[in-house]
Amino acid sequence: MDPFFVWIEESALTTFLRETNSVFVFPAMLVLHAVGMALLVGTHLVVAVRILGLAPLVPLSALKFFVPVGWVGLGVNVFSGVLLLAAYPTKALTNPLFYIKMSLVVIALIVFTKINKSVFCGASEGTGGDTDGGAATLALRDKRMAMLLLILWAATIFAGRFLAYTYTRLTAFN
Amino acid sequence: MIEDFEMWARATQWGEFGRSSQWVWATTESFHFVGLSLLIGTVGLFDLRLMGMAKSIPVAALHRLIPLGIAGYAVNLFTGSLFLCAYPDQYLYNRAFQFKMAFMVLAGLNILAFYSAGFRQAKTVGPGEDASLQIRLIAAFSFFLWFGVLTCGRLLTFYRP
Repeated sequence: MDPFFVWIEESALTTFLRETNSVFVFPAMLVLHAVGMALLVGTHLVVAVRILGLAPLVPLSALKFFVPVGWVGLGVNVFSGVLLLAAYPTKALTNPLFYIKMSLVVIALIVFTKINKSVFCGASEGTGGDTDGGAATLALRDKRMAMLLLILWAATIFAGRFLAYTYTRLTAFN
Repeated sequence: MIEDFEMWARATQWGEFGRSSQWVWATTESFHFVGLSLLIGTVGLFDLRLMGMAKSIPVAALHRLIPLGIAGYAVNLFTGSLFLCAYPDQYLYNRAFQFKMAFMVLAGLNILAFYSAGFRQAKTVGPGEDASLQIRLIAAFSFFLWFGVLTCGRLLTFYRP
């Protein structure tokens, strides 16, 4: 792996990201990553707690208009995440926790897509266009998925934060 | 006075606990991020509804999620106090922290403005209806301010005194 790390770390992009001493470069990527997280996890969390029965007067079908907010957050985090990875590839890619975090993200997105299909696209009968008091008519499966989604995003947040404390190598040269 | 607070905070058991291990620190940070997701998820989407997004949701119904945002805020006061007590000098004299506190005060005043001037009307805004311009402005300000708090918080480490 090392020649690959060296190749990235000697690239112009990585050098720029790591060595530019401006709050608008590397720190800005960290800010964007937190902003994107708030949008993505925040939106998915609201959908999940509504499915679990909170705020039953919110028409579930109408929550789908907030779903794009979550996708904007995902876009922001793919962008900022790729640049954070480009800045310190060795740091992330030599840490097993990084792969766990990526797996958690992928699984969370799959779970949300399933919820999205089932609840907003009316794939499971009797739940699609429900308006009020709908929590009772939601399938148990949807509630389990919503609970799973919350656990997955919480685990992703922990994994992401712990990345800063569990790496063994910062760059290919140490 | 600031020095008195600094000395007192550093001497608390809470601060000592925060300094005791990096795993305590990392765990507390993680909960701080979970708390901010709760806060911005609920309050942020509520603000977006007031601004005109997802208009088929009645405002009063969505407002029922605000206690979850308050819970997130409480989590973050609790976890944030651990950081502050552990290393008070790293925060009190940090420009990013000062801006973060200023954003929080403004967000608090904005909340007072909302509940004193706008809420009675806002909660009558039904499906498909628009909130008044005044309420939309308060909502836009809230959205901006909470992301300001988040931004300053994430930048703390780059403005260490």
